[in-house]
Amino acid sequence: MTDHATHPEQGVPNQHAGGPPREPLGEHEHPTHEQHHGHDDSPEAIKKEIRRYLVVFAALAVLTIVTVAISQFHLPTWQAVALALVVATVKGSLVAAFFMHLVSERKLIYAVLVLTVFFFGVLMWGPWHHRDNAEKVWPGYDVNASKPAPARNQSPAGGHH
Amino acid sequence: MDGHAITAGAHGAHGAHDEHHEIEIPYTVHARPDTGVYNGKLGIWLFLASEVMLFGALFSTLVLLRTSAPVWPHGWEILNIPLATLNTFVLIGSSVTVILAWANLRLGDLRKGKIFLALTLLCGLGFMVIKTIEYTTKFSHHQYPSTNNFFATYFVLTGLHGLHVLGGMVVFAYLLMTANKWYAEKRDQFTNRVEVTGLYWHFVDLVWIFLFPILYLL
Repeated sequence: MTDHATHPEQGVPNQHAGGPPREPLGEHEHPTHEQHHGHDDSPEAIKKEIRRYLVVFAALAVLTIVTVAISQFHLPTWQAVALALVVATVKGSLVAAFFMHLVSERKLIYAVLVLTVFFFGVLMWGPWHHRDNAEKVWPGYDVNASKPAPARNQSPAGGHH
Repeated sequence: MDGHAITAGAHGAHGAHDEHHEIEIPYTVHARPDTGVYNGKLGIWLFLASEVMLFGALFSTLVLLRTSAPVWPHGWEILNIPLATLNTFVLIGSSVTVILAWANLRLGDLRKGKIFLALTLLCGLGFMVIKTIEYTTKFSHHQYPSTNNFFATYFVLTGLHGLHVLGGMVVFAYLLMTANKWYAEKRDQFTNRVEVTGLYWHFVDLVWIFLFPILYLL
């Protein structure tokens, strides 16, 4: 992993997009392994990485089986949703952390991600807010509605049996 | 060098269709000092951020429709879980092959790199074939996006995801076709291209990791 402290220019605001840096960098500040940040390019290190990817693959495969197995129990809706989302989040984190190598990435990428997560949260807050509101607006509105309502002209699904 | 590439580009408009020897795109290999990453990597992450918003809006819509629907079918009642589980393995497998392609290119093994790129492309193809089987079965049962909200969200989400898989396959095909030339001339830049394409591909995998339980298992 590259030491962040060797990049004092990181905080310099971008005033010359694409242009040469205002403060010329000495070659010593551009270590050759820098091109793949966070990755030591020695063959041993890469081979070690490959082993790690295979372990992550195995973990993802096992978790896929786990999530399918859980669904066979047909748990109550909210428990099923919570469990499925927890497993999916763990799987997603494994992909993001190791395959997308976010375990060792630059600050700017993290900053982009923090913004993304925030706005994703805003998107998800919408329906959540609606859900809370619905309970107040329509007395008797059942947020856990999973049983078919008697009077409804739209059939649930074509293949519903 | 990276810095001089800009000046070359300024009066090199005539060379726009020319070989990349003349105009060098800056920071394709070395990290740009102020961002700390090469441009392609920052670019793909910004693109992925926009993708999160695209899929996020659809997920948000799904939550809204589902929580306000008096009735919502269980995915496992109408969708084909074994096929979708197989597709999950195919896609996770392709995430591994693309990262192995990258690792092998960094090891200097172009042959293995290409084999893993080809395997990734094959996995993408396999995913699309299985998806097509699923879709045609649904259509033969007269289940269309217009059937109900469940199928509307199912087809929109899996359809958009499928388009992303197709897009990735096009890029992998391009990378494979140009691999020899790029690797010989600009090895590091090509390796970075594979890394960046891989980042996109992992994102497509990640979306499926959430789509699968949400649509099929709940």
